[in-house]
Amino acid sequence: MIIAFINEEGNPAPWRKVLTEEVPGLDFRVWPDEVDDPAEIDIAVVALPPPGLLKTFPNLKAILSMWAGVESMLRDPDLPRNVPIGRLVDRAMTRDMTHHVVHWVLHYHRDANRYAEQQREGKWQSHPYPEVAERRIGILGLGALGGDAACALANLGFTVAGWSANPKSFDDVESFYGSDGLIPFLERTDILVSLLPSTPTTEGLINGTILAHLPAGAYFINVGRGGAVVDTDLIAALDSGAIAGAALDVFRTEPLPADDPFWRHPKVDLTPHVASHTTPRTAGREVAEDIRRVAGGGSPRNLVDLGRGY
Amino acid sequence: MALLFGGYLADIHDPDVWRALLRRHLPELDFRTWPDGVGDPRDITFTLVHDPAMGELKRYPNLKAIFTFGAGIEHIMKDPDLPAGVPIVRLVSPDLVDRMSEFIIYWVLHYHRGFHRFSTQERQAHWEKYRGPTTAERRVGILGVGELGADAAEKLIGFGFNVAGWSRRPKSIANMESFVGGDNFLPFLARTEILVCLLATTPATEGIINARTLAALPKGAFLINLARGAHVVDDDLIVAVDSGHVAAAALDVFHQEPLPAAHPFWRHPRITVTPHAAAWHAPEHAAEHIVRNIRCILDGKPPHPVVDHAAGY
Repeated sequence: MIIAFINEEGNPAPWRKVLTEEVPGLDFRVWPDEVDDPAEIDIAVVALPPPGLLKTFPNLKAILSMWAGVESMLRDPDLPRNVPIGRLVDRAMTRDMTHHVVHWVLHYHRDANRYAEQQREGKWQSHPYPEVAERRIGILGLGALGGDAACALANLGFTVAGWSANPKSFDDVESFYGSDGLIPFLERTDILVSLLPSTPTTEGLINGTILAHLPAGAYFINVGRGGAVVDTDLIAALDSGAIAGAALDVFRTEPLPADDPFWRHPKVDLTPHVASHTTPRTAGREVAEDIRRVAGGGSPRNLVDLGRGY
Repeated sequence: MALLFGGYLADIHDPDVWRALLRRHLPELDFRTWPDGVGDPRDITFTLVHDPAMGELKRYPNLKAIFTFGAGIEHIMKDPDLPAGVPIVRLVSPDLVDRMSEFIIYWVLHYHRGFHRFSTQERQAHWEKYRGPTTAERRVGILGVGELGADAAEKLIGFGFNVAGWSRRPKSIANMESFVGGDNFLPFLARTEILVCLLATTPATEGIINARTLAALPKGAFLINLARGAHVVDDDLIVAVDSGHVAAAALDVFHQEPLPAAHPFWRHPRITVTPHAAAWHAPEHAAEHIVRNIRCILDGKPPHPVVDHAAGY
C-alpha cells in the first residue's frame, strides 16, 4: 500500500509514526515532495486537498479524510466520483465535542454571564434557576456527534430533543425530523445547539425566520459550521433580546476577521474553532483501520454520500 | 407540632412559600416564624433556621429535630449550648447533589478546555487555539468525598477524567483513587491539576488551603472552592494566583458573605466570584425532604442524613 499524505498545513511526522506503526509495510509519502508518480498512489489521506488535485491520482482505491467535515473537498468540481471517500469518526473527537457542548449548556443554564457581569459591578446576588429537567435542549443535526452530545445532556437530566433529516433513535432523546419537524422542534427549544454540517441544504438555514421560532430569551450554540448561520440575522436577534446569548465556535471565515462584529458583541461568547480537533494519536488509529480495510479489498467505514453531501 | 422557620435570604427563603409548601404535604403543621412569631417555646418541635443566635436552640425544650437549609452545619455546631441528643438533619436532597455536580462539571470543563483563555482572547479579538491534555490525562482532585464529592467524582469519571479523592476515612468509588488522612494530603495535592474543595468545615479544616498546601499543587493548577470560605487563606491564594503557580480560581464561598466590596477577589482577573450560588435548593424539593424526615421522626424512625456530632459533619 502506498499512501499520499495531503495536508499542507499539518505536520506529517506524527501521522507517519502512527500510520506506519499501525499498518506494517505501509509506504507513507508526503505530497508533493515525496510523490513522483501519482499513478503509484493507492490511498489519499487528506485535509483540505487543493481543488483539482485528487483527479490527478488515476489509481486511487479510497480517499480518507483526516477531518470529520468534508464539505470543502466535496466542492471540488473535479473530485473523482467513483472513489469511495471515508470521513473521520474518532471517539476522542466526539468526546471533545460533547464536552464543549455540555460546557456551554451549563454556562447558560447556570447564568454564568450574568454572574460575570455582577462580578465586574461588585454585586452579590444569587438567582434561582430551573431544574435541569425543565431546561429543553435542542440538537440541530443529530448524527454521530449530535447523538453523543444529546445522550450526555440527557444523562445530566436535561430534557433533550434532536432534529435531523431522518428519524433517529437515542435513549431519552426526542427525535424530530424532516422539514415538517423543524418548527415544532424549535418551538420547544430553550438552548439550541447546531451541529449542522455545511452543505448546500444547510447554507444559511439558521436565519431570522428560524430563530424567531425559538422561545424568547433562548440561547444558541454553534459548533457545526459557520455557513449554516446568517450572521446579520443572528446579530439582529441578539440585539433585540430574542436570543439571550450565543456561543460561537465556527464562522464563515476563519480565523474570524478582526473587524467582525461578533468579536465585540456583548452577548457573544467566541471560541476559535476548538470544539473538537484531530489528534494524530487517536485519529491515526481510525485512519489506519480504514487503510487496512481498503488494503483487504473492503471500503472505509464512514462512507461519504456524495448526494447527501456528508 | 410546630416548626419554627427563620430564613436569611429573603428573596429565596420566603416564609410564605415555605409555609405553603410544607403545609401542602403536612396540613396539620403549625408554622411559626422567628423571631416575632415564636409563641410558646414549648410548642416548637422542629426548627428550620439559618445561623441561629448562640443559645437560641436550647430555648426549645421539646425539640425533636433541627433542620438546616444547606449541606453545611458549622453555624449550628459552634453553639456551645446546642441541645444534646436532638438530631441535626442536613438538607442534602438528590436535587442539591445534582445542582452541585452540575456546577463542578461546568468549572472543571471550563478550566480543562481553556475557556478562561478564550474569554480573554475574545476581548482582544485574538484568534488562537488551545490544545490541552485529554480528559484521561487531566487529573482532578476532590477534596472531601461526602455525598456531594462522591456524586461529582462519579460524574467526572464518567466524562473520562482521571479523578482522585481525599477524605478522612477511606472511600470506595469505582475508578477513583482514594487518598486518606493527613499523611496522604500532600501526595494528593501533588497529583492534582484541578482541585475541587467540598470539605465540611471543622476546626481541623480551617485554613487548610494555604501557601504551603497550594505550593504542593503542580504549577498551573486550578482551584474550585464550593465548600466554605474558611478553608482558604485568602492572601496566600492571591499570592499563588499572582505568581501563576495557581492559574485561576473559581470561588463561590468566602470568609465573610456577602464578600465585602473592598475584597481583592472581586477585581482579580483570574479569580471568578460567584455569590454562594453553586447549589441551591428548589424549595419544593427541600420541603419534601423535610416532610419525609418529620414523618420518620413521628413514626419513631431515624431521620437522614444526620450530623455526626463527634466528627463535626
